[in-house]
Amino acid sequence: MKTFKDYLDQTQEIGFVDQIMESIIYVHGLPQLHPGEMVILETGEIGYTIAVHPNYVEILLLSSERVEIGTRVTRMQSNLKVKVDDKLLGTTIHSQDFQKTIFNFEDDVQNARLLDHFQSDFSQRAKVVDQFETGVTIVDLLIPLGKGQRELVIGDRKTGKSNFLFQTIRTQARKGCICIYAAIAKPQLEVQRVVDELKADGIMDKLIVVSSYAGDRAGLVVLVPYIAMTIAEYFRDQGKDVLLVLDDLTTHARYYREIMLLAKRFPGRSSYPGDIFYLHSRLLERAGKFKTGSITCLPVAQSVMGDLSGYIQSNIMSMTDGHIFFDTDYFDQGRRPAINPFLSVTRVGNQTQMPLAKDVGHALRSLLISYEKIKQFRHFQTELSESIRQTFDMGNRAIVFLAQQLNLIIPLNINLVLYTALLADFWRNIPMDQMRKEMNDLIESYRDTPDFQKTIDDIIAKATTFEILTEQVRQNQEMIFSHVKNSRLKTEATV
Amino acid sequence: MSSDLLTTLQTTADRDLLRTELGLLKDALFKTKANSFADTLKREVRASVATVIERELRTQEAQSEKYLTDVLSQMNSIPVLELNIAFQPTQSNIEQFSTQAVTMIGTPVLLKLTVQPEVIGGAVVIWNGHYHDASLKTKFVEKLEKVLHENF
Repeated sequence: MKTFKDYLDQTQEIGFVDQIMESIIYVHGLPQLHPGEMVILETGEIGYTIAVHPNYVEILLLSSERVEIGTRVTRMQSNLKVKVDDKLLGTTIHSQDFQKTIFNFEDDVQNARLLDHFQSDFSQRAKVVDQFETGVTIVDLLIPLGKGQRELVIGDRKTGKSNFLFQTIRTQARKGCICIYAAIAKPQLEVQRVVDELKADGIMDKLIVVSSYAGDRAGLVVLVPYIAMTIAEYFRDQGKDVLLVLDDLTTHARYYREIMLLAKRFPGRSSYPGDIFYLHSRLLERAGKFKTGSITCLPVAQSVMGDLSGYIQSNIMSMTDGHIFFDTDYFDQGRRPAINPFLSVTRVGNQTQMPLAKDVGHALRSLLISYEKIKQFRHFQTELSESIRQTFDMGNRAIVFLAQQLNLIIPLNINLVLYTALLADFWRNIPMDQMRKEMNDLIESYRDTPDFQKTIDDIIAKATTFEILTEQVRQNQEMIFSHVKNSRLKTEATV
Repeated sequence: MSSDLLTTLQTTADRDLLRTELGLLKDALFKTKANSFADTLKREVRASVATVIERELRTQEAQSEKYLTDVLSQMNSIPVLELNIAFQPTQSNIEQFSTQAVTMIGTPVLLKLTVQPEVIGGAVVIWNGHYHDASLKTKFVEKLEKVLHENF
């Protein structure tokens, strides 16, 4: 990397630090500096220009070293760029190492990409047509996502958002998708735990973690989602499908607010600066389905007391193609994942579902709606008819069917068969615990037994409608249940 | 209207000294002791500066506080030309530099002189954010590198 003196000789422009406000410094001089341009201090610190005024410029520092009044500053004549290559796969890039590892300060480096730019070439975009499997039953059946979709994951603290995200990362990494996890101002221990868990799963070769800790310089924290997006674009341009998780944008907005308040920007609603919408929309606009590849983006937003109408939350909701809502009430009722299917939305995911999955999804949704109505009705201690009692029982079973352990990934095809079997009364009068256990056995067999997997996949391939699938499942009942450990059918046959 | 005090300024050191004196005078305006301003003018301020201030206050009939504020404001708006030179300049050198700078730039200018022996000769000039290294050291290093490159 060139030194301060080299840049000074090259640009012949100099400025002096007049004032320091946390991570922002005010500098006079540097007449040709433009917004976004990088600067270097004589102490070796790097910063980038956030505003240019007639008599001074505002620089956001990217390191946490102390700066003194009067320090000399010069231009670097380029905007912030990131060095990206395949070697990043399997690595964790922390904000304190950005300057050494990922920022590019050289002139002729291949794969150096601008950190912040407009995704202006609309002709490169394509229609979202392929389903994006998350491995989480309730999402894959009721709130399906498409490759290239931007889906907000929203919910209160500790409602299981991160678990859902890691299940999705595991599912996609095993399918060969490049996964990028951007941890924005997270506790150090939490980031370390996540990385260790994902390493233990053996998917690190498909994963890149870009992280910043809560105590890091605000200037660096704010850059994390941009770095992650730039890396995602590199892999997308190689024709790959990328999953990008931005965890979370409400924290990102808070750090941006801190910087802008220090920079004396006029505070707007909830003291956020006026350009907070533009900041996030510009970022999320870079994700999507492209002719070369896709970037499926899952930004996370934290709600407070289940309120979906917060400023940042509703902003991001309006930029994305739907949202998955983690409901505190559901969480308190013991539902896992605590996703509320009635308050969750997917705008482009439905078009990617195969007709069969759509049918199953409709049937499941209708059942859940009826179930919720009956549940409310039961509060009055009303005597229920036999058919309503059956619907209620089936609803209870559907809730158990949708419940999923944290480390369990359920492929879509076995999900379709399981739900069809449930509706076909395979588990009538069987205790819920046993039903869940048998379902888990079948999922395990599907994962571990290639023959069984092939049979299930063939059944799904042949069935074009829900009726045909039901028929197929009935015909293959014996074969399917033979994969349940201590199968009832086997036991019954022995008796 | 420009004060004659400003014409006496040549370097940022002169400016800082004058700023301190004007600050003391401004403080004296708000002291309750009788003749506080006159006393400060007599005891704390250089005679040459005190004479100019007395004359201008008398002839312009300006209010003391407004007069001092105006002079301070005009003084702060004078641009600074920074020179890094290799030797400690004499008063005569400073006058020559200042005259030359005002002639070249065309407006009043203050010199900020920094002595850096490693410059060897010539000067590093900083003006309005522009940096120009016209030092002998840089020329010497360039020449040395060229010679080394050609011969080894």
